[in-house]
Amino acid sequence: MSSNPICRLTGIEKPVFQGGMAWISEANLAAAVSNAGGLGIISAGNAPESCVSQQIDLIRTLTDRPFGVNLMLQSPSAEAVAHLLAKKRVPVITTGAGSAGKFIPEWKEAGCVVIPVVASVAMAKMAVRSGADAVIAEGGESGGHIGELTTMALVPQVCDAVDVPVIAAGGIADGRGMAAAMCLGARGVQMGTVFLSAQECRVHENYKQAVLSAGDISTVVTGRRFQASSCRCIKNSFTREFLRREYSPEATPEKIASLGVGALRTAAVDGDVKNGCVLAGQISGMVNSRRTAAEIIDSTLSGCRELLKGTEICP
Amino acid sequence: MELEKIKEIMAETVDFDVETLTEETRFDSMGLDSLDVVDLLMRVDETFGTQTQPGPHLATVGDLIESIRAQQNNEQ
Repeated sequence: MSSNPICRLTGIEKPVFQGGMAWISEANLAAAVSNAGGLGIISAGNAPESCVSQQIDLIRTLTDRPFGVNLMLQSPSAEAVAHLLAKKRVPVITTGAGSAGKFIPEWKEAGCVVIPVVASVAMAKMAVRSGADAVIAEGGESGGHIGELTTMALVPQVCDAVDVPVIAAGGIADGRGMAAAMCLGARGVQMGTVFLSAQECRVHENYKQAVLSAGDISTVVTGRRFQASSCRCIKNSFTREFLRREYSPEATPEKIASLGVGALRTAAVDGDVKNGCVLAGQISGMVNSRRTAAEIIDSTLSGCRELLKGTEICP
Repeated sequence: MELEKIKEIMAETVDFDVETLTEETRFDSMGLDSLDVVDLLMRVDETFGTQTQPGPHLATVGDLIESIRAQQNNEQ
């Protein structure tokens, strides 16, 4: 049995999570990650209960190892999917875009491990108060919906504030990033962007290529103006038009909220990476090769161990 | 009483003229984003011994006061 608290808590071998990515992280990618010893996570996104149920049934045919489902709390299906996750006894539940407090008792009763994604110290404390087993502290370097704090600033503050294990996320794609996260007090990492390039990832090829081609300054954040959902994505025609409208005098929160509807599907499923929303993190510039999920996890972990060998925090 | 305590908490943490605060004041009109509201709730809960969950039901200062009172009544 591993001495790492994240591995002990979740039953995985290697303290590396694959972040939930709507329209992208489905059962095949998640199973590949779990089979490689990490924690594969299916994203429920805005999907209805029936689709999430099918994905859970599918992953159970692909792996007998622990896996997770990420519940997006602003989804119109959130309530139904939350009950489904308990009914299906999903091993690990991660949550995003809100407070999961009202669902946590039901999940714990069903034996699920609950790990909310948090973007501030107060969110972390609230999650722990509600019964969370650990938290994922995600910095604004990440792709998708983000908070203001960076991973470097957020992770140590969350580690100091809560007495559960912390997983770091945002801007991590190799052993150096993982080692840095462990030095900040995290006991494991979650990576999203690097898994977009995984051979097992079924996102549209154009999306994958957009990430592989991206550089260090290729991403931008939309949606910041009205305290709306800030979202990091790769610069393209969609983001240029979004930002033009967001900062126009006629913009209203309602108009801005409607701009993103369907845009992720346009990029991730239809492959229109000019007019769709290509969510990806700032670390995209370091994602340059197509590897298997196992190669990504093993190279990250071995790189981290090389840097931290002989220390108490070596995973 | 709750309003005065909430004003005190907000005066410590938010750049806002709390004297203008009423029960009708909306959190979004004060420029608070969702993370700011969670931060405020944790501070309020520490003061009142409550466990308030954020969400669309908490749009105004009055909603927050009502939630605090409801939780306190349930405890009694």
